[in-house]
Amino acid sequence: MTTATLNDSPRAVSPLSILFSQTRAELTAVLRSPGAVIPTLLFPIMFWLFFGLPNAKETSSSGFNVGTYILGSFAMYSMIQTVLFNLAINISSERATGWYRYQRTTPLRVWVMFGAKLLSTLSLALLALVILLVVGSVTGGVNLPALSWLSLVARVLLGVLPFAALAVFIGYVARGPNVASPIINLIFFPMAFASGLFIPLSGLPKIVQDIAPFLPAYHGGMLARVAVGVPSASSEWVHVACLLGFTALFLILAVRAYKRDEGANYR
Amino acid sequence: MNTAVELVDASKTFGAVQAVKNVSLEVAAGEIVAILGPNGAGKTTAISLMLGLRSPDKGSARVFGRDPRTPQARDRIGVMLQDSDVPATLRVREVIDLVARYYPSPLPVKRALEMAGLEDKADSMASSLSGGQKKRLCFALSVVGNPDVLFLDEPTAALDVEARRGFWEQVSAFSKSGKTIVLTTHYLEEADALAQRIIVINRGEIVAQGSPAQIKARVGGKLVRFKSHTLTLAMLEGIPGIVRKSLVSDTFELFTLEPERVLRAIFERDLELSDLEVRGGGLEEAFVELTTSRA
Repeated sequence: MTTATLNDSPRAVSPLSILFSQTRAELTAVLRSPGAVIPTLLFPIMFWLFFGLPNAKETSSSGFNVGTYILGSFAMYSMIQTVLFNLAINISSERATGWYRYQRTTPLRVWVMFGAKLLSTLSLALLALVILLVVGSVTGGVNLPALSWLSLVARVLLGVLPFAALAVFIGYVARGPNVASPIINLIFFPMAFASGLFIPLSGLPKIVQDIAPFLPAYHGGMLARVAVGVPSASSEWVHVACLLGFTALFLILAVRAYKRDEGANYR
Repeated sequence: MNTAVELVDASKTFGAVQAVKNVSLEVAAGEIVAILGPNGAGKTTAISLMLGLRSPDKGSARVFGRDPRTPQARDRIGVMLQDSDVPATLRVREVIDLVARYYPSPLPVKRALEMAGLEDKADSMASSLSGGQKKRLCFALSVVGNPDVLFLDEPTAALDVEARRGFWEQVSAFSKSGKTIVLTTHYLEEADALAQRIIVINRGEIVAQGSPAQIKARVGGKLVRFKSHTLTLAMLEGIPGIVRKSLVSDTFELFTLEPERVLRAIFERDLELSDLEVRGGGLEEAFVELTTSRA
């Protein structure tokens, strides 16, 4: 770039302020779509009421409250589900539209566009999470110190990172929401099950227990349960490292899928 | 001349189709240029190159001397694409406000709403707008950044005649503030109503360019066709108003801007003819003529 004079630069536009506006617009748009909001907010509570609550009042052989254990797992499950479905479907449906094409002609930066999608999805996911935690603690009698709740939220935010990258990848591979949605269902439910988010791994076959450490949701679930006081045999840092590794791997896939889409439609 | 937009020997191929072939053009700052051509002529590809939505296989595109993909270039352009849609669950005002924030010196949202005639729809959901209203919203988005160059790709393609005229008035009002406008259209009437200069493209190539009057003289005429066994082309010499004439077996084709005058002359000379027809200057046909007459 030469240093040619910019004869009219009346005010610099702060990318952060655009990021804020863009995030607000994305969030407003999704909150007005009942088809996206209702399942997002209801599914985690339904799962809790059907599968978590019936066992919540028990105490495990090692002495901790089973309800606490389940709520830790379900917090991770809820977060992954919201981010995976909402982000992937948002991207896969939007990139075929004139709006996506139009935005590329504006000064809006690509990273701001993605950042806003991520932030708005995370906001929605946090809303679903808070509802789940409130319902869970009230109905299941799960009482934790405030710091543990905060620690749980922070850990599931870390645990969902690989899935945010995976959602971008799926959003760019799938042609439209009708393809993205079944793909995610196929991946998500078996994976959540095999990661020990629905049933503790100790109750699953040996082969599943052996596979679990190779799944990102396993590490997220482990971290989430540590936050609520479930003892972990391995160091937490192993789980953190694995999550970051999966994030990097999925990011590479996502960037490649994005570039291929760019090459097909914008070169 | 201060150049706002230029294509330098630009080519773009999609698979086996060469959409744009060695096109060079310049649009001066403050100029209003229409790119006119039939469907599939390469208009949208040409404008995509200028916008940086596509990059040329060969040659280059510049906006104020910069790569159109740079933020500095994008700060200065406003765009209305052919099938732009907007997020269905945002209100008209919200979408315009959002886009305004992308630009360094935007117009007030209220002003953009006025310019597009959408004041009474400001609080409507985008999904509730009619086709014509959606086009107007896209126009509002294209101007709200207060751009120096406005690109309009087939802006009135789906509009009825009345809506089209209303749109022309809005564009003319915007252009009065010294803005550069590049529009594509397949309506000669639209190019004539808005542009100072018309560039005609067909099959990816520029086949003619000039003032609206000059272009109308070449593509705006009528085709007079008839059969005659006795007539020769030489016998038609001296009839005023015939731009081009041709004879294939016994069928004569005369291209003219004044068919009445030409026919009067033919009948006055008592020339013997049959199967007379006068056809409107279909652009499609005129473009073919332009292309072949160049070859």
